[in-house]
Amino acid sequence: MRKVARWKIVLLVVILALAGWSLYPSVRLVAMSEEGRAAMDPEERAKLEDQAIHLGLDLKGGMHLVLEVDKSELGDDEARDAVDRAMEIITNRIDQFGVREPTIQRGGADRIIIELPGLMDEERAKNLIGQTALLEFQLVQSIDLFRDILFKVDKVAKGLDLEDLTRGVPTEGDTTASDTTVVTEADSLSSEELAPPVASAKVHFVPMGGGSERALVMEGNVNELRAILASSKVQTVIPEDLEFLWANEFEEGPEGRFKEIFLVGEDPELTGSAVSNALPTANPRDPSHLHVTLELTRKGSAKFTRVTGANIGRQLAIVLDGKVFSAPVIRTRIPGDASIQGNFTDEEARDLAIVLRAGKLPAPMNFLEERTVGPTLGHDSIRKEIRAIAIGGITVVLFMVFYYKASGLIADMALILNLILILGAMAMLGATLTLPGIAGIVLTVGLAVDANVLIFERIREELKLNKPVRAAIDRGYSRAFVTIIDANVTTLITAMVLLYFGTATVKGFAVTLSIGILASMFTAILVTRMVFDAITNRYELKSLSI
Amino acid sequence: MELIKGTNIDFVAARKIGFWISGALIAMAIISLVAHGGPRYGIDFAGGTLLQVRFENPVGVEDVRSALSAVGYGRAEITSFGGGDEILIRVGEAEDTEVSTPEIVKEALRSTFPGNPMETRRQEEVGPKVGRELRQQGIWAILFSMLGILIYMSWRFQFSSGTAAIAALFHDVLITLGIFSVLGREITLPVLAAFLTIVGYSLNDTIVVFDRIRENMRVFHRETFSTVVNKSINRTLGRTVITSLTTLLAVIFLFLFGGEVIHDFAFALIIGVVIGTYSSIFVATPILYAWQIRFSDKKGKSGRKK
Repeated sequence: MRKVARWKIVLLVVILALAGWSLYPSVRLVAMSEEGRAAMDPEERAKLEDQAIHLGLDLKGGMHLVLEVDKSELGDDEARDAVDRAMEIITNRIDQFGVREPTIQRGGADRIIIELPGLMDEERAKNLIGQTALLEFQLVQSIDLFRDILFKVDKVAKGLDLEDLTRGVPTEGDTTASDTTVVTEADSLSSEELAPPVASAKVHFVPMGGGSERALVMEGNVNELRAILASSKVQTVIPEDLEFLWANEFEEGPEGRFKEIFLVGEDPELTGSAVSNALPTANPRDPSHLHVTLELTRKGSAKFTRVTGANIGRQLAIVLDGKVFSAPVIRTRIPGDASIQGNFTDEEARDLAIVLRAGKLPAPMNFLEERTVGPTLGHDSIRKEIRAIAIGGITVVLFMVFYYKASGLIADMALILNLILILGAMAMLGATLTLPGIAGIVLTVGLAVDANVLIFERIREELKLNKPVRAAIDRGYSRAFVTIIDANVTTLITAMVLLYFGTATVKGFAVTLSIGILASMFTAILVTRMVFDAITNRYELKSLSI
Repeated sequence: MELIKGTNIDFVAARKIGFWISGALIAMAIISLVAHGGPRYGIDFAGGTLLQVRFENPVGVEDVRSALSAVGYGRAEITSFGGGDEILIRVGEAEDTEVSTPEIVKEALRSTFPGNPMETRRQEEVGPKVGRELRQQGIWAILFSMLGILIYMSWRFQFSSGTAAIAALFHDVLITLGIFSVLGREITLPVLAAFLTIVGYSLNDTIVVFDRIRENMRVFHRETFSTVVNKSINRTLGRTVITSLTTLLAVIFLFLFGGEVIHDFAFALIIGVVIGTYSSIFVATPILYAWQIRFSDKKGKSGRKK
């Protein structure tokens, strides 16, 4: 009587125990109700979730972003560190933002891959992450100088094809109410003749306190003026050390929306490096909106004091990524802090503060890929899939019993064991379960059955040749073994390739498939054999229920 | 009980049927692919934006379309499912705007359907660069798998077996692609994963048959090759049918009840399982047979493991 080898039993028990132990956290998590989960101490819960099976974004909900660092304007040295520095800064920003368990990874030479589970506000997240956040303090030039340059622009701008220009410019706002300025075909004008006010007609000068004026542009004209100012011909009349900058937002007026435009010195007096901290603060005059107060470093503070002292009466524009957020008039020397005033909501102020605190990105970021899955879709998908798998699983189980009788039952046990093994392995390896991954488990059910079918068909053949039961089982297993190995290895090869080439969701599938194949080989070859051996040891079988 | 008891079908003689069927299917696949200018790529491979939203009350597709036209996306693909309250919108390459495409679309929808709360189920934006890369990677993935398989097969069996198996795989992938093309279904990343799985699975099948042939060459070394092949197929028929059946059972429920996200994936798997099983018997084996007949002896030498 050949006993079932002791080591096999021990191995099986050990593996089962391991699987059970590693699955326990997941079971606990799933079994807990919503209230129970909320009531848990957050640290403990985080640990529990970490030990349980990780769910992919497509099941959990969240954002997946792929960014590319635009190194085109960087020098070689800078370019080398650019991605690492960008990652640091982005990590900083995300940390402050407070997303749980974000993943920030480098993807190749130029790319950063970010996963933010649970987050749903895509725009906000993208702004937070993608914003370069270059902060500059630039002095606003006198309004007379503004007028001068504007008239020069008029002269040069006649004959410019506006259609052509505006096509290349990023659009904003509503362009349906634009001014139709006729550009004459007139030849060059002498300096006394007035040039058609292509540019200056679009700008309204409105007095503001202190004797100066603001330059405002109606919404419909913004794009055209922007295009005109950007054209190379016009650029020649704008002095090199000056530039035109636009305000960050539109303002509401009696005749519609408009934006302010500034002429500023190109060289910043102060930059973001002078900022040591940024805080959202209450606006005493408007409780529903916030300011962002900037605390400056010692050096920055000293410089700031110097600059404000030397420029009393002028405006200092606070510019973020080329847009003017505010341009307060310097009334006195300001020692210490500055503040950015705008109509910021809670969120906007907080985000801006985060971005300023973390520092500016070394280079602009391009969003290459963005995928967001809402949490409800994740839940729905899980529910539907599990239901489908349950039905499918039960059908297969019943079929096996129907077709292979008692041996079918043994195979079914192996199937269940399989599932436990796969899930346990995934929990232990910290693998991520994705939607295709669940489908991979389904496929594994089919493959697991396959291994058993191969063995059982062989055993049937041997029995038909009137071999004794024990021998039939032996021959069945040994003959099928080779085939199982060959067949499964090739599927494993494709799974490996998928693992290498796939994106996150596909990788999840490849992982579950691979684990599934290995598990099914294990259960089919080792476990069911053990059961057969155990039974044939106990009973002298004349025939086999197969 | 036994489904397939001791069959003795002369598969070798029947291989002409296989050629005709496969030929027709491949022709259909090629015609469809050429007519459509290639496979119908999802945004994963073509770039673009995908937005899936759910309204509390069902909305009409035409209304959605007019809402989108107003913001310049009238040519978007709009699908409605789940009884009309879930809308799937696909838009081609977005222009570089200040506000992202999904935001624009969502705003337009919100203002067109006030009082009908809208929830974002998912949204995806893929830049053209990434799309192109994924396409290339997809092709590399398939090629690499084939290579790996060819090497393994040639090592375990013979080069002829490896080639026959690979030919069957190309056949399977091409026909599945063709069916997708005819039905106008999209090729997305999960579908690509399904294709690769089909490759592995179809191979599974083919190997079982080839393994039997290899074994039977030894056992029945006095018989003609065609007898050996027939015996092998007939003996493995039981197992082949049962395995395909159980796998199909598992996947069909996924297809029917698993939800939209996994739908295309399950569909690809179903086609793959059916065609994979068919190809093991009617494509791989006949090719192997023809090869052996032409290039080596009928008895003894061929089929021997290295």
